[in-house]
Amino acid sequence: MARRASIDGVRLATLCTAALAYVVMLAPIVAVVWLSFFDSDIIAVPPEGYSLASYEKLLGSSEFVDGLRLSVVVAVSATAIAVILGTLASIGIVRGRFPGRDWLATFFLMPLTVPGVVLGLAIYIFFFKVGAALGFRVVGTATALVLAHVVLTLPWTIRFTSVGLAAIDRNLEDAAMTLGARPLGTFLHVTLPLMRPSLVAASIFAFLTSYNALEISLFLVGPGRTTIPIVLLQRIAWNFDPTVAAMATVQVAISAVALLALTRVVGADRIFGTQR
Amino acid sequence: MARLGVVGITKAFGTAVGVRDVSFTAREGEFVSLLGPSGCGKTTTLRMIAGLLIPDAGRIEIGGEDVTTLPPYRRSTSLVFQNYALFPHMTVHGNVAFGLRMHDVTKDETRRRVDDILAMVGLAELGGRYPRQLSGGQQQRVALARSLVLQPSVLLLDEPLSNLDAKLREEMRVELRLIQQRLRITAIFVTHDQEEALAISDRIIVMRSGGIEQDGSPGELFNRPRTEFVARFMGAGNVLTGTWNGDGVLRTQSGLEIRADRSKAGAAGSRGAVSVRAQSIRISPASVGAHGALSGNAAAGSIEFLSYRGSFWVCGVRLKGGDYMQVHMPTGDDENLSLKTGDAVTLYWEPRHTVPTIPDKAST
Repeated sequence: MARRASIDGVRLATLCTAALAYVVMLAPIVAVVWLSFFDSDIIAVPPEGYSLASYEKLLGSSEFVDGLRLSVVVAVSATAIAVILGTLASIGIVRGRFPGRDWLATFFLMPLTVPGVVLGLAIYIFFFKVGAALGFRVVGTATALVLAHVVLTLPWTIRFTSVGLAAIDRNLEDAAMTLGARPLGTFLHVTLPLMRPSLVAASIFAFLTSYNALEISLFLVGPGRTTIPIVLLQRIAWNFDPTVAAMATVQVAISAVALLALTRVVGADRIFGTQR
Repeated sequence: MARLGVVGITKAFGTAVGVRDVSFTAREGEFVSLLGPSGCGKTTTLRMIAGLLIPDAGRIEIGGEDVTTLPPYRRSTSLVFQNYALFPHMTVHGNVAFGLRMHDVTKDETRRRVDDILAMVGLAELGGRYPRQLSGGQQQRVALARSLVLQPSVLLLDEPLSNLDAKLREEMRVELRLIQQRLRITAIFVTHDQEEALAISDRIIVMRSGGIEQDGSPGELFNRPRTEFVARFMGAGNVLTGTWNGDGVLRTQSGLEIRADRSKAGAAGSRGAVSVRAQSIRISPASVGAHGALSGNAAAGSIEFLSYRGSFWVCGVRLKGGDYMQVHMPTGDDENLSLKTGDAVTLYWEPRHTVPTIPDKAST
């Protein structure tokens, strides 16, 4: 009996710890969402009332709408490029047989080890020099931002697609070839369809990484060309009002929807590698 | 439906030799098995014929055309994989139609040919299923249909039955053979199961360490193994080693003397190995005494092991000197055997049933 009680004690402690962890993680988000519905220009608790006023203001703010548009355009472009490059890199790493293959695989993951600010600064200096040499402006363009975000997201897409590719039985590709499929046909009809879950996972992960990237973008945005996380940061530096909270809420909602989609398509087990 | 010629193909993996100077031919419509233990090079040979591996040396011809360096999609071979390698994202129909799609066959003809071949393998109703919804035997049939629908010149089979349970394996063996004969298709079948090879083949090629050990009909391999290795691998019966005395007699280490036809026996003083089929040996209680020609073989011992196999008894006999031999006795009408474990018996067989083979270097 005593033993039973102690096991229940352990369970209770585990549950309490988990609950506390969730509260610590979720409370700020809940608070931000709550604040976004305050009907006032300054934040005061308790609020004077609730309304959607801050969301209306958001839609009327060119700063926010332009920022959102740029963020989405950059994230979608960077994702597309990073997924294609990542898939090609995976084919080389997983299926290729050449010396230095493992070394290359590690090399591709290196951007993960560099802090975003450092990466951003390095890319800024590089693009500045490139722009000076070529005689046109690179820094501050959307293209520069996309390229920087490709660097940021590529390790993830390579990781996801190579895991997906490695899970495909090579006999399937051999079978396709003995049945008359050329290498390209084999890739398009057999390999690529079987890689779909990992491609979806890579895309969503890359999109989220790019969409939420702050540090790497700091040096690369230009006047009138600012991504949402930076707009948010600049607003907070001025003052914290319900509009900022609404902005943050939109940000959270988009990420949440993407993560939910990821879980539906791939399953949490595959994302975190906890399957069996 | 074409002649296959393999001429001196060699393939090394790093420093390890995978296949060394292998040559054989398969006639049109012939069913040839490549038989051997794992690592003997049989699958490597098959993959070279399929074009999935390119030989380091040698030549592969199909219907007289040199295909040695052609990629798999440019040769008229088709391979059935051990794990079937069905495309999991396609239906049964999609899997079988895949090869036709790759060959730009029209939609109508594709549908007709796929339906025909699915009917032939008994899966007409299951075209809409996905591979994961099928049993192992059904997946096997789909894999076979997927290869057959292309009407390949040479059908290649890599241990296609080894993942099935024993009963299904035997059924599929018969079915595979019937389909192969009906389509008169040239087939190369890789297996490590000597019983399967005997049951299904027109010809068997026994491979060992990358080379061919013996090439012959199932009967030849079973009755006249050329080497000790083949004799042991085919499980034809009793393999005994010793030294030839020049009189057509092999003397084992334990002193047992085995008489063979003098013309086939090894030179005096040379090491030798002989095979004696379990069915060729007569057994009688020691009390009965000698019968048959005295020029024959007689060995005394006692029964160590008895096992009923329906149509025959397996009888393990420990000979006086310590050698062990197995005898197969037809059961006949009498289901009750008069012999029992521990009985003293004498084994008899004629010299012509002693098959001299080339001994292994490793054996003593």
